Amino acid sequence: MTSSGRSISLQDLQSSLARAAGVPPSRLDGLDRRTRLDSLGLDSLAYLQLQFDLLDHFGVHVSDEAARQMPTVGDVLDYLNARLDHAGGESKV
Amino acid sequence: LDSARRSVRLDTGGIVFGLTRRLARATLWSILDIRVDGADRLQTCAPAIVVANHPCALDGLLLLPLFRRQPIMLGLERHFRQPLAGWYLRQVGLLPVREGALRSDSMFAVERGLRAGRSALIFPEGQVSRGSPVDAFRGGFLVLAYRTGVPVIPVTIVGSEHALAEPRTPTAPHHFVPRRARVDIHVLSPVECTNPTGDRAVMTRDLIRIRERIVSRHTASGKMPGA
Repeated sequence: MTSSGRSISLQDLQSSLARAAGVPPSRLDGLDRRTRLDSLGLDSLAYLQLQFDLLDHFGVHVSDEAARQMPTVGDVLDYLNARLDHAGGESKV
Repeated sequence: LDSARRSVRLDTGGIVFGLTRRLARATLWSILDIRVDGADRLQTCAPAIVVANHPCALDGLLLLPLFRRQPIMLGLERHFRQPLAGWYLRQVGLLPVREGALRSDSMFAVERGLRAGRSALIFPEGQVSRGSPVDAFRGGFLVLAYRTGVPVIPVTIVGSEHALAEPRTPTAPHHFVPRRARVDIHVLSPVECTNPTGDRAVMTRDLIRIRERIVSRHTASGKMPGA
C-alpha cells in the first residue's frame, strides 16, 4: 500500500497485460514478479496498448525510457506503485 | 504592454508549415503531373487520421498542400539527428518516432493532438515501401482511432516512386531532385473504427480492411487508361 492509499497488485497488472496482449487474464495465470516481460511475447502494439492502459486505469504515464528499465513484472509493479506514492504525496502538499 | 509583447511567442511552426506547403505546391506540384480526387474529404472530415501508402520519400511533401491546417506527422528519429534538419522537421509538424518495440511517447503526443482537433498524417508501412506496392501495415494508428473516435481516411498514392531517381533512401542532394512523373492521389471515404474491448481480432480485421481499400484503389488506378 502506498502513502496515497492506493496500490497496484499483481492481479491488476495481469489484467492490464492481458488487455494489451488481447488474451484472457487466465492465459497469464503463472505470472509472478520475476516473470520477464519479453517472455510474454508482447509485440510493439501490445506495449503501446499496455502503456495506454496503465495511463487509463492507474493514471501513470510510463515513458519509453522508463519502460526500457523494467525487464520484469516486479519492476513494473514497483515503478507504478512508486509513481502512485509520489502522486499521492504531491497531492497532500 | 511591454510584458504582453514579451509574452508573445512567434509561432514559427505555423509559418514554416505554411511556407513548406506553398513551396511544395509551387515546385513539386508544377514539376509533377499530380491528379487528386476526394481531397475535399480532408476538409469536411477533420480531425482525421489520414493513412497513406508510401512509395516515395517525397510523399509527405506531396500530401501537405491538401491540408489547410498543419497535420501531426511521424518521422523516424534518425532523420532528426542533424540539428538543422531536426529543427525543420519539428517546425513542419513531424514528431520523432523511435525504431523498435517501444515508441509510445510519440503516440501519446499524436493522441493529444487529435483530441485538440488536429489531424494526423501517418504512413503505416513505417518506411518507404520495400517490395510489393504496399507493404504490411503497423496498427498503432488504429489504437489511436479506437481511443479518440477520430475516423481514419485512407489515401492511395500511385506513381510517386517515379518522381525520384532514388525514391526509397535518397541521401545525396541530387537524389532529391524531382523528375516529371504522373502521381495519382486518391483520398478515399472515411472509415469509422470502434473496438471498445481492444480485441486483437477486431484490430486485425480493421487493419486488413483499411490496407485492402488502399491496395484495391492502387490496383484499379494502375489499370486505368493513361495511368
